Amino acid sequence: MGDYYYSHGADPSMMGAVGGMYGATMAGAHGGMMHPAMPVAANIEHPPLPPGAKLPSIKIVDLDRDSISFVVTDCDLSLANAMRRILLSEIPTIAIEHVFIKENTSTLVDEFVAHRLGLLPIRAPLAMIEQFQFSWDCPCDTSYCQNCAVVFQLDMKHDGTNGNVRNFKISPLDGTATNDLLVTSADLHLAVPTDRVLALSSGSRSFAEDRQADASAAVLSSGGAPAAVAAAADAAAALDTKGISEFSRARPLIGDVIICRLGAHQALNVICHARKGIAKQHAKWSPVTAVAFGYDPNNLLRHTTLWYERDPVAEWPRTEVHAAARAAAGEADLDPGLVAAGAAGAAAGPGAAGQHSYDPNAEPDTFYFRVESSGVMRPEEIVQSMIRVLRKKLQVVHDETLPIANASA
Amino acid sequence: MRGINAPDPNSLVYNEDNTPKVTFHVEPTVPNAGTFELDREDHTLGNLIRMYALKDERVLFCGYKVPHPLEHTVQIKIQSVPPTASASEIGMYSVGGPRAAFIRAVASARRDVMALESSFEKSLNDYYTSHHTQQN
Ligand SMILES: [Zn+2]
Repeated sequence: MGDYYYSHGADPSMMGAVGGMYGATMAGAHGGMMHPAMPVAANIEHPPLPPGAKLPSIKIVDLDRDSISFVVTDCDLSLANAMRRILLSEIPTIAIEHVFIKENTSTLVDEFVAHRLGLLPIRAPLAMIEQFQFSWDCPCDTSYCQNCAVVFQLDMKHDGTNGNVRNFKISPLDGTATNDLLVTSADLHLAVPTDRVLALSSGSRSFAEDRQADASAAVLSSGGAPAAVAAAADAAAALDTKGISEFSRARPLIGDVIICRLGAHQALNVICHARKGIAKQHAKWSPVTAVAFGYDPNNLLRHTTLWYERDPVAEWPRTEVHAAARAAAGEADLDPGLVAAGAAGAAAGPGAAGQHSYDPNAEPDTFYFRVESSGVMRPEEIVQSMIRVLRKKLQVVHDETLPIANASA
Repeated sequence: MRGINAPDPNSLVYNEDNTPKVTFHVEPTVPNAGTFELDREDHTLGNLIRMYALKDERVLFCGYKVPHPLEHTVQIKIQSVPPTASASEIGMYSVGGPRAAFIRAVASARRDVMALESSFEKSLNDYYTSHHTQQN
């Protein structure tokens, strides 16, 4: 019996190929790939800031277990939009990419199971992801190794054997099982116990426990000694008592995700290879469920037309992050006059909206973000990763342009 | 290698052919102008670099395009004032010419991103600290 190879989503042509193949040969590292973990050179020379210009800054308005709201000020629209686009599509995470089906007697076809496995959120902290390799960058070349793949196994059989006695009840009448067995993400285990993974999306660890586990795993994955691992966990615990207790209003990170349901004597036995990827390849790698992005909540720039029937203040939804930022700064909520001026302005035209007259040269410089995490990374890690990816992108383009610029003289 | 007539989805991200990340073509008919082509980049960097270049007084024109949805490149066309001095005299980011203007735009964007990076770390620490004091 050969192991069947499935590539979830990204490579349908490989479906059904007989085992032993580890997917497309991805030889050679591409010079332009991003390595967000690469250290920043300390002596970077910056162009001078134009007179009167300010460096952009970020202020966190709200942060909890699964979302972060922040305001970016003194920022160009193009930079804010680049941040939004990277949040949506270019933050590296870990997701199951290859599924080897050893046995599947469930009612779901192999492809269906492989697809469901691919979509499971897999929790991995930023520190681990940054050390992890994209498959095409890894020197192990055509196969996989512990630097570019995390191997999971799932072996469930609904017959009360293999220790899987959960829910297995025999009918006294005919000896068949009366319950189905729910196979969930909690049944996926690391094939190599010392592998550098963190945790699957199961359970309801507190934020503090999460953070400690992340810290120790980060040290572990970099080859740290047990003492260093423990020290990292202690440091994280200290940080938690210092600042994170806010987050102990515990909601589960994500409950166990159901993969399939096994009837009596049905079995599912698979090996999964999780890989690093970004949402541009497939949405399963996206760490966010939503990115709210807004500016100019009063529409004073007239970038849109606020349609309304009677009262724009009453009818238009408020920009939540804007309202929260004003509340945090001790300011009143939206100024109704501003909203009315913004709504009326488009119809009235330039200069006609009273004290809030339209300035055709005005540009947006304040942006309101709210990022919801899918649970695979903490929200603040997502934002950190986003900034590093963007910085790294610019760094690569800068460094690759230097020879061109110098050659011109 | 692939059995179906579709591009490899990963080709959005990595380049099998090892073409250079950045190439530059001089515009033959326009003075002090040329086109930069960034491999495996899209509107994210295209629009960002364009807008930073347009803030530069020495840039006369800058525009970008993604030539085709199946070609994962972005082209940035830039025209600047003529060079006035050499880089060795007034520094890499101060000379004229389209190449210097381009790298100046990239470095300015990088400067702002790095400012955001430290700003975020600070804001995160402040947030942890302030929410700690509220708790106790
Ligand atoms: Zn490898």
